Amino acid sequence: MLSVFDNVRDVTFLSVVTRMLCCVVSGGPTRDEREYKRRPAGIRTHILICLGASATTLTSEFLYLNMGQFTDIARFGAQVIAGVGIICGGAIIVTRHKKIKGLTTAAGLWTVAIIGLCYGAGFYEGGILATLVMLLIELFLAKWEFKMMNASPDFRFIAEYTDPTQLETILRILRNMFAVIKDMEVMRPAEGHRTSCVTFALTLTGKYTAAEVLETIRSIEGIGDVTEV
Amino acid sequence: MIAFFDSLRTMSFGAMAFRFLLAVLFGGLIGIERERHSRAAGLRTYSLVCIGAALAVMLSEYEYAMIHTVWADKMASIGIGTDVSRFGAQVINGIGFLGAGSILVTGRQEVKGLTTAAGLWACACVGLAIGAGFYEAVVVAFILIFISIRYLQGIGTRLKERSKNMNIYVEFTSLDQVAEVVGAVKSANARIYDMEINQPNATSMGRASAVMFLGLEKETKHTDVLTRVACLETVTACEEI
Repeated sequence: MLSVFDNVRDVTFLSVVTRMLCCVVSGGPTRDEREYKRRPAGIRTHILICLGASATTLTSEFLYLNMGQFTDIARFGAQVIAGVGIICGGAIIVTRHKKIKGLTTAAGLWTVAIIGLCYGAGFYEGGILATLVMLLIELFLAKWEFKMMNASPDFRFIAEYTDPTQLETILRILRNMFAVIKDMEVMRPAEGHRTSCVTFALTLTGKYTAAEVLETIRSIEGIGDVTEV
Repeated sequence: MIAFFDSLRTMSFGAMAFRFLLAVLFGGLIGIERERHSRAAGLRTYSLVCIGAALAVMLSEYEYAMIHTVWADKMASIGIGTDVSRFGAQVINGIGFLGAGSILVTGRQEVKGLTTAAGLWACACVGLAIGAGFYEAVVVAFILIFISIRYLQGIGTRLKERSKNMNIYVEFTSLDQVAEVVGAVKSANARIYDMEINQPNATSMGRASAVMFLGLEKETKHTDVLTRVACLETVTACEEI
């Protein structure tokens, strides 16, 4: 543990101010990437959760150290971990395509709450290290993650077609290009329209890339829009 | 226990930094593996959860250390210390809620996201062990969790592909077409074990739907059945579930 913080380990006015300011500083940068992507949890949410969490461990220490009352100082803070878990669970969205969104934001918010607990308890080292590691993940690992994603053998696409024989052609192409169909969904619109829509979830097992498969499908005569999703 | 790790079990700054890096590494590797299969939770989600869990335990250890050193006289007069497992215990709870938010039941009687929830929860639990400096368990758990995610998934998909049973969800324009759908399924040599028909209602945009539990011939491919049903004029949506 670092001796720099020895002056602010007890509950004094100075340490309360220091701890709360640390929360504001840590809650800010950990969300940077998110706000930019217009995800629901922004800078204020992160700072609020962080500050609220720090108030609980601070209060516990105040009751124990300053008032000398009989309590386990971990009791308040522990409930924060479960409570924020519930809030975060509510921040997860299910889209119409049956995909989950916001899970990473939720996990980040939950971790920020624990960072807040650490600051409130005077465990500055933990809070600072965790903030640094979170920044490291956001700044560097996230880029690597997107590269990995692009190299994934799994992909989904939507194709529009007008004639059932075109669907059979698509299926034949997929078979020839060693794309294993994991899931398939056909949608027909209401009367009056001729265009049908098919969604495929595939795993590539051969040497062909997703772009090549899509290119071949686009070359089918009379096929509508083909888009990767 | 392995003595080599003893210096990393203390609460020194270096040992704490090591635990954080281990948490990122552990969560990251598992997350990448899940992400390759385009799952909702990836590298960032898993490592964040793992860091959070490790941090919670370290916080407990910090409070315990403070109470037994700097605040030792307070403890003597008040007569209660702290329970080092209190913070960690709630992690198990909290991540349960987080996981529950990622599970969805679709209108087609399928449950999705259960493995993601279970994986996140397991990751958080190993995060607790990392925070506590219980590295032996972390190594063993990592190997086993990684193997389960990496190899068992492929086996699961392959089994499902070759399975003689299949469940499909079909949506069609009105209940009159049930016979036509059944005919298409039968023409693919599939037996219908059970079938649930849903009446058209306000949420289904006036369309009827059915979930069918089928038994296939050995050589019939799942996609063959799907194509036959999908090629019917009256079918508006069809999917294996």
